[in-house]
Amino acid sequence: MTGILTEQGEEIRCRSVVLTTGTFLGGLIHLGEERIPAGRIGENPSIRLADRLRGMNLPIGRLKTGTPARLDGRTIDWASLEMQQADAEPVPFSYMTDSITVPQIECGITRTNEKTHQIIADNIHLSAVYSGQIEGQGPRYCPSIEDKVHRFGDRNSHQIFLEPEGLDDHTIYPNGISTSLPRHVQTELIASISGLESAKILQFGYAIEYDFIDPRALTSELSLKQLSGLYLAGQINGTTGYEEAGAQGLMAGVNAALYAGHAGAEAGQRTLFTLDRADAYIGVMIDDLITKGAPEPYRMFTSRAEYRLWLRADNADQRLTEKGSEIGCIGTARAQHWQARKQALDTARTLLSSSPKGPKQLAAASLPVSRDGAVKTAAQLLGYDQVSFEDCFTLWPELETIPQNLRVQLKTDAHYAGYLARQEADIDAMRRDNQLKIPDSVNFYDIGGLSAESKELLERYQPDTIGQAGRIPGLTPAALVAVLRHIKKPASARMAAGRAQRH
Amino acid sequence: MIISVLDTIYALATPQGKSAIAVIRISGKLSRTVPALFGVSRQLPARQVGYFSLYDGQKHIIDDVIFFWFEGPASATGEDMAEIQCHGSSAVIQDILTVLGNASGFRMATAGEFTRRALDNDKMDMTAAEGLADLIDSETSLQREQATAQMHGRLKQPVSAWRETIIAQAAMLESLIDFADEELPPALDTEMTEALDRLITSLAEILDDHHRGEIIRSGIKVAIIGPVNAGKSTALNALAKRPAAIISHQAGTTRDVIEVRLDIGGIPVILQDTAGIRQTDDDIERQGIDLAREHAKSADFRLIMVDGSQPDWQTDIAPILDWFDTNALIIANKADLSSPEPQHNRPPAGFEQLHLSLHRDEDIIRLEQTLERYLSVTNHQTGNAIITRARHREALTTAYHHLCAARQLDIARQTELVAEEFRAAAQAMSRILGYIDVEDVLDHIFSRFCIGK
Ligand SMILES: Cc1cc2nc3c(=O)[nH]c(=O)nc-3n(C[C@H](O)[C@H](O)[C@H](O)COP(=O)(O)OP(=O)(O)OC[C@H]3O[C@@H](n4cnc5c(N)ncnc54)[C@H](O)[C@@H]3O)c2cc1C
Repeated sequence: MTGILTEQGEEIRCRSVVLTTGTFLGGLIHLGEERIPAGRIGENPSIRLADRLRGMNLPIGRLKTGTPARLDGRTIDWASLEMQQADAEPVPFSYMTDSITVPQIECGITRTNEKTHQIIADNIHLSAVYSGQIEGQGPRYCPSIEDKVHRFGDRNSHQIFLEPEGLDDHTIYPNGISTSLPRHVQTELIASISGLESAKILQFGYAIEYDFIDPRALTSELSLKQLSGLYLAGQINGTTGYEEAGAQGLMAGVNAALYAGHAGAEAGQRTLFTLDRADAYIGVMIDDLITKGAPEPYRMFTSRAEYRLWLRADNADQRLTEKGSEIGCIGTARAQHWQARKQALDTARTLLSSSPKGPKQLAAASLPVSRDGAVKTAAQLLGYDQVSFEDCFTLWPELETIPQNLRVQLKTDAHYAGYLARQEADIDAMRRDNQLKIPDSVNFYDIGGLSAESKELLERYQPDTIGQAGRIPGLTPAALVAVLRHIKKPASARMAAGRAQRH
Repeated sequence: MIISVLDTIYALATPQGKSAIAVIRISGKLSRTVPALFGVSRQLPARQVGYFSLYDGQKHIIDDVIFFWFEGPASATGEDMAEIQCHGSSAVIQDILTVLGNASGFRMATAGEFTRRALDNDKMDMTAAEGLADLIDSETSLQREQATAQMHGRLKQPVSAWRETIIAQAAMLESLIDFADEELPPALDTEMTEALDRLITSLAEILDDHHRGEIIRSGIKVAIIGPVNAGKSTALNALAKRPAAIISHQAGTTRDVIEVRLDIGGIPVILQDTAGIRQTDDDIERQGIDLAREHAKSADFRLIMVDGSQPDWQTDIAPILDWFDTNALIIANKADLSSPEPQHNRPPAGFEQLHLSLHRDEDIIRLEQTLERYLSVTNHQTGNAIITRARHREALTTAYHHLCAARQLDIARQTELVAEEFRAAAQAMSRILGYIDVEDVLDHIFSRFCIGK
């Protein structure tokens, strides 16, 4: 990696590059029968970059996504619609934000109806998605209104949220009716919906197909295995969604910076920044992507995380701030903020687990008593669903000193305690497996006692660690043991095995 | 030895030794070339039988054989397969195996390798493979029945059904968590509670089988216990119809525990002859007695053997009866020695007793019949057991406990914890029929609920 050459002929020298082309790489918009090469409507696609990447012989595939028409909010009959108010008390992501002061605005709610569905059914053959014009793979869930009507024929109505795109913008995003039907059908379709009878369409909806790189070609720091210094993030890796893209951007950016600072050093000697499946959703996503690829546009669902009860917004700072500090990504203010919170948490936890009370005292305070008559701490009591902090104040008045903003997290920890303890053992095992690196030199075809299918799976997925191999769909535990045994042999024995097998 | 899965494997499928016919099976890519290895130029169409003369390298005829040719994946292992039925002579078998062994890319199969390939190629699931192994090991008709049933899916069917239900319920829970803002059908939690109840009930029913399947698979343990010289070894020999235990009239001969496997009315029985119980100073004999007590305790059933011609035998065995519950039969032996035969004194409470003489054939038949009657009761012959291995029981019990824990929670308010219990239950269930992946759950969500904005 030496730099970038722009279309204008400008040369930018650099040691590492992050590519985040979104839907632009070989982008092709479908609108009815129309096909428009574009990255977004009105923007040119990246063709030469796509050609360059194809020239590198990377595993490239096509995915598709779509978007609904945009409406002029001034032409919508809001008075006839049900409105959904913004959250009365919006919760900030960060503990460093005390309150959200940006004005919050409401959304409108409307629905498709039988007439809408009839229009769609009559014209579905004109939709780019249904005419067979699109080769890219869409997601399994329903990305378009034609999918919803087609696949769930028993439903006679689907909900639509009318979302203002900005505080100073009258563009409305009608969430729920993404489509690639031709323009005239979209016009008819929108007009059939209550409240939108005379709505003006600012921009028609469309489906877009684009190139993505099979993320199994990436390392866990999101760089290409075959070209160090080149990092990929976002939709180019087969994901979809803001958080998915943002999270990868952060990881690729940090690692690209670390790489640039240590150019020339071998992977073993460089600082890498990676998160695992028990650290953060980021870790779950990147591990999924680089192990399983993206057979459909990848979205983060909490069900993908094995340790969901631990990966919570309320303990994000506890899970990640110190990791960020180690690589110099945490500013002084944030570091100090976390130190203070950490101290407060430690103090509170000590309070919660000291001075246990006996059954008599508990009963007197109408708190749950266990049948064996054992003494209990406040932490144990908070483990009960129905016991709140306030309930404990009679017996432990000192708990009143625990700041309000810590109580939610402490109550949740107490409530989940049994489950979290169980998961800790699983997390340890997962981390041990991730420590077991599979050397690059291993040829899976050389491993004895493996079925042909397992060998093919391993060759295809090229896992870096035993942990990753264990998450390959379809790979049997027996195959995993065979790989483990093989990598534990000294390198010379492995090579001899390879020669003998190939003979 | 380095074993490659790409090799074509072969093995003698019938036992070694002289027989009318022997069968040699071959599986793998090179199976197609087998006729050519033996100088046969004809190539059979798939799933056809040929009558071939096989020649060795020196063009000498080895044997006339029947040759079967199966093209994968329509074969037992899912790979190309050939089968040679030759005459069951050691020399013929040896010559054929030598030709195969000398051919490049062929090697002798390791134990169980044909089944492993069938498993890898999805020709068989884990439970069917276990059923097959049990069938090959089966010695009695009940064992055979049970093994065949398992091969045909007696365990797989309910487990697949539970697996489907668990995936469906997990999908509902996950959609409540991840897609709370989508339009989900109302009353998901009522549907869920009902499904959970049905799941728990049917698991409980199948787990409550008195371990019949495992007992049939490994055999019912019957311990013969009692004072010295009561005729325990004679009983073992009479039932086994062969001298398996050393019999002598000197008291205290049987110090170790001697086991024979028997088929009593189709029920596999492991009959254990134990050391005679008496007061002794002999250390070794005392160890034998301790061992006898352990076996008596762990056995599924006991035959308490006494010398019925002795007047005070009841007092002698009183301490023994405290070792276990009443799952035992008292046999008062040597009825022929007391003349006239003793009055039938009342057996100790809760026990049945049989007066007989092991020297009379008709008494031995009576003993066998009584034993069979007892064992079929012990055996709960009503209903068919589904669980045949500890591994199955452990997986299903774990799943059961997690589902019960889920039932204790409030689905609407503790959705994430219920989901956690389901995940654990699914994981346990996976150990029987393969992995349940989050993709299975997501598939279900997206096919059942209209999700996507
Ligand atoms: C209309 C619409 C609505 C959406 N709504 C939601 C939503 O509500 N929630 C949600 O989670 N997700 C939503 N998404 C998806 C989400 O926006 C994307 O998945 C995410 O933004 C992808 O981020 P990205 O960084 O990979 O690419 P993008 O955000 O697409 O950014 C790509 C950038 O790269 C630039 N670029 C491309 N090629 C070149 C080149 N050769 N040289 C220089 N620059 C180049 C482009 O100009 C563009 O700025 C929506 C997407 C669309 C289109």
